[in-house]
Amino acid sequence: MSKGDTRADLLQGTLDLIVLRTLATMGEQHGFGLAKRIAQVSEGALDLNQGSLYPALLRLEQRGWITSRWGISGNNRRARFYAITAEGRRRMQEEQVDWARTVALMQRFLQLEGE
Amino acid sequence: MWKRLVATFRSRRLDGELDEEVRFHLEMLEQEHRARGLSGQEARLAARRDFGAISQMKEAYRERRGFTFFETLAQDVCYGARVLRRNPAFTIAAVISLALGIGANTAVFSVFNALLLRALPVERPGELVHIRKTGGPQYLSNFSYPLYTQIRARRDLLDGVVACSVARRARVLRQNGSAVEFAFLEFVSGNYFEVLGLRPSAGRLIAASEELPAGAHPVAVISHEMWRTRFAFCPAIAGTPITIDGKPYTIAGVAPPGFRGLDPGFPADMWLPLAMSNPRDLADDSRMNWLRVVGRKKPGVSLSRIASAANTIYRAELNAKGSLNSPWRKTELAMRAEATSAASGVSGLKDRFREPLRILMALVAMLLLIACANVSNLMLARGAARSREMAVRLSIGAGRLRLVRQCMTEGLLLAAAAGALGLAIALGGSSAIVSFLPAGDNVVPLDVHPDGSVLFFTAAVSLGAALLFALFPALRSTRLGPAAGLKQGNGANGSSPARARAGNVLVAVQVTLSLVLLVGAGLFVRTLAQLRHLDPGFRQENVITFWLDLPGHYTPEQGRNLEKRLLERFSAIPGVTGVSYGSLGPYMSGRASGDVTVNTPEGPKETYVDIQMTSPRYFVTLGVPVLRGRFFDEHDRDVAVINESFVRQMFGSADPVGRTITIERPRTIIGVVRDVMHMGLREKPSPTLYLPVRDSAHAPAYDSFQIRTAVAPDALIETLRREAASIDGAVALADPRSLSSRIDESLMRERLMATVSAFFAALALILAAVGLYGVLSYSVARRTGEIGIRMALGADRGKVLRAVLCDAAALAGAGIGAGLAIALPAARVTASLLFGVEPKDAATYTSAAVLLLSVAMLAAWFPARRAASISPTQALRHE
Repeated sequence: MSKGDTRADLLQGTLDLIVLRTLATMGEQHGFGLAKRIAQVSEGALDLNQGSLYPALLRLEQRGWITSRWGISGNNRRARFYAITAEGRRRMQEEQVDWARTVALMQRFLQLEGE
Repeated sequence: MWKRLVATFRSRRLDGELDEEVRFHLEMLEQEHRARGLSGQEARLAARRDFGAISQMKEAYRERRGFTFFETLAQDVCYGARVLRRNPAFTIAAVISLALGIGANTAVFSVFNALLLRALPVERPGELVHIRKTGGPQYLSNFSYPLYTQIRARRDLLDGVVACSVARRARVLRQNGSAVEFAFLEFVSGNYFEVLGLRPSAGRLIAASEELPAGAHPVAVISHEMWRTRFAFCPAIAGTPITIDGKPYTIAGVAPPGFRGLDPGFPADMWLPLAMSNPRDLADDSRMNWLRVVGRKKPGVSLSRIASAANTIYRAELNAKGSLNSPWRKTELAMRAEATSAASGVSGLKDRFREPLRILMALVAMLLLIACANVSNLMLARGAARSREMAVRLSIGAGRLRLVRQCMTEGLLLAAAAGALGLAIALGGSSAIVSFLPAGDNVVPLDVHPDGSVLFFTAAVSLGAALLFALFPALRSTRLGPAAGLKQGNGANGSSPARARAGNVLVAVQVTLSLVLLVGAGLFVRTLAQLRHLDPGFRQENVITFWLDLPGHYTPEQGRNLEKRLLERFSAIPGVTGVSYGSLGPYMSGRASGDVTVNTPEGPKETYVDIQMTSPRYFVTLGVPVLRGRFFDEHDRDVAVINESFVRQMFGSADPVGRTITIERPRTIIGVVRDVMHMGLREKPSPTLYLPVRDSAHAPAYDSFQIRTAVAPDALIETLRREAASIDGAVALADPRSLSSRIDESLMRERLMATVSAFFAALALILAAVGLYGVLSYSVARRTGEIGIRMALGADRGKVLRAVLCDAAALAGAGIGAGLAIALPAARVTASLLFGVEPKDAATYTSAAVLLLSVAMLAAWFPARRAASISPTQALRHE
């Protein structure tokens, strides 16, 4: 149980930001594209069940941070595309600042302890 | 929230979209893997692996989307209904036990509601206040007309005060010489309909100007019901002539539908202005306490202020009449005016039945708890049988909450079915209860149709019951982890000692409540038995009694002559062995009393006694022995007969025969008769004076006949009617019935309590027995292996039998002990309803305990025998 929990905790806090950030940089994307991009960027470090992306996307959409519409994919298939909203961008900024602060704080502690 | 709700209804389409999204994703993954050189099958598997568990994701997605509530509810209901259909035995048993409990509760509540809760169909009933005198006899609780007008004058406290008489039977002739009909009429103050805020269905209602002067306003308002049943909604009803008690009236209009006066226990058909009542009762010096007074309270005025204002008026009047004789005055001085809410009406039945109905409500609540315990037990047993299903569902990812919810939905389905059935049971049950309430001929009894509050009550009770019986088993059966449930495999044995313990507790609770019910029933049944065995002082069998209903034009003398002729006619009927008449007669719901001066050995003394005017053969007809002297005959004038109580009070051991007694004029006491309970078995016989009816100058308006017969009394009633009609077609026998049925009616409260509580106790006993049987059967089944081993090791059958019976006895014993501990203090609330039995009556408690224990042993006997017949080899192979 414990291992799964750790991963879930990590994801809970970070997956939202990762998705928002990815959509912000890449523009409109379908779920598969998003999953692929996240895997690329993390270089396999994030062992993500790609399916778990969808409930997260729904959550973000319900909060109004992203929006979705149906369109035609690169290989002429119907697919659902997600895009970040203005509110999503604001949220992303806030989260980024938070993250930076947390990371800086942690680094300071780790350096101190390391010396 | 709105979005979620909308999403619920769009969920099917949304599900399709998600499926499509997932399919797209998987195909893209598959393509990639294939591009990397995997075969079709391998690529598909790899894609699945990358994607993760699809169904769990979908569940999480749906959960998130908000499909949850309504959709899961629909799913649960369908699933629950399927499960219940698949287990008809369980379902039927559960629904029937619950329906009995819910039905009993609804039945009692319907009556409770009709008599004590239902608001009158008038404008703002919450403001109505009943003003009356308390602390003395019922017949003094109302007000005289002069006092009513004084209370009405307190406009600072009350926005209008109405007065009405108690409904009484009247003879009605609808137009040209049609047959005599009876209807119940009330005399009402002129402002009655206006203050109550009622509008006519047709014509007009009584106006304030019609209250006085006496005799000036021969108009009547009829009920909507009467308009329907007797006038077929005739549109020209206003202005129709009608003869009431021999006098011509005009129907002024029709009251609004549903309105039958202020007394829910005694609905009226017609309302006449006070002006048309007896002029004596309207006089400025009238002291006749005949009017019920109901006022509309001004906002912010307290009931106690109204009461004290009315009390001041009452006191002032008492003091003004300083010359009143002593016993009467003492009673009146002890009384006080009181104001209570009249929102649900004004009825003598309320006072008599409030306490009994409350106790019955408590008893049926216990019955319902017993039923719930039974169903809970059934569900526990089934929960054990379903543990495998639960385990499977838990292991494939269902949350426990979800399963609990599923179980609760099943419980609610059961409760809904039981509630519907219970309502049907209640319809019959409440009329059965109402049949115990007083109802002479033509009285429409209390209206107990299930109105909104009854339906609401049933729904609430069903829901509450469902929570009660389903929650515990639901929590219990979903507690085990998936592994444990799967391991146990075989469903029937998928049980734990904990489940057995829970079952035991439930059964003990059932036994406890059953004991309380049995004790209650025992006390009421014994009360009734005590009263039944009481000697009323006369022979009640084979006596018919009725009132004589004379047309209004009869003079007192004509009335007396008619009575004499009737006496001769009736005496000549074959099968009649004795005829008498007089006022008021036994159990004719009334009392006449007055002041007399008795010439005792110590000199003249004044006293206040009951007075019965009778014809000579009265005591022969009733079979009452004359103890000393003789009873009067046709030729005696100015004589009196007194009863034992009278002698005890006024003469002690001295012989009263030959002494004089003065009421209006001196009369000689010629005999002493036994005490007779004229009013009711619970009343102590009071000093009574018997006078020859022929001496009486009053009209025989309240006279009743007593006819002793050699044949069944009911068979003669028609003959009596014919004989009376042959003298004068307008003469009617009112409410002819056997004397024993009148005595029964005087015991209606006791009969109601004894019958209904005994019935409920019997139900409780059956339910508890079934519960015990179930628990023990289950425990024997569970311990088959253990018992087998013990028998293999040499335990004989008798020992096994005893062991099971001992278990049962321990359970029942614990329940009985707890029941006694509850019943002893609880029984105190019944004290006022009991007669000849103490609330702590040891015999009742002992017999209840013994009865319950015997039933428990009987219920245990079958599982015990089954246990004793277990064959060791078979049991062990079964393991």
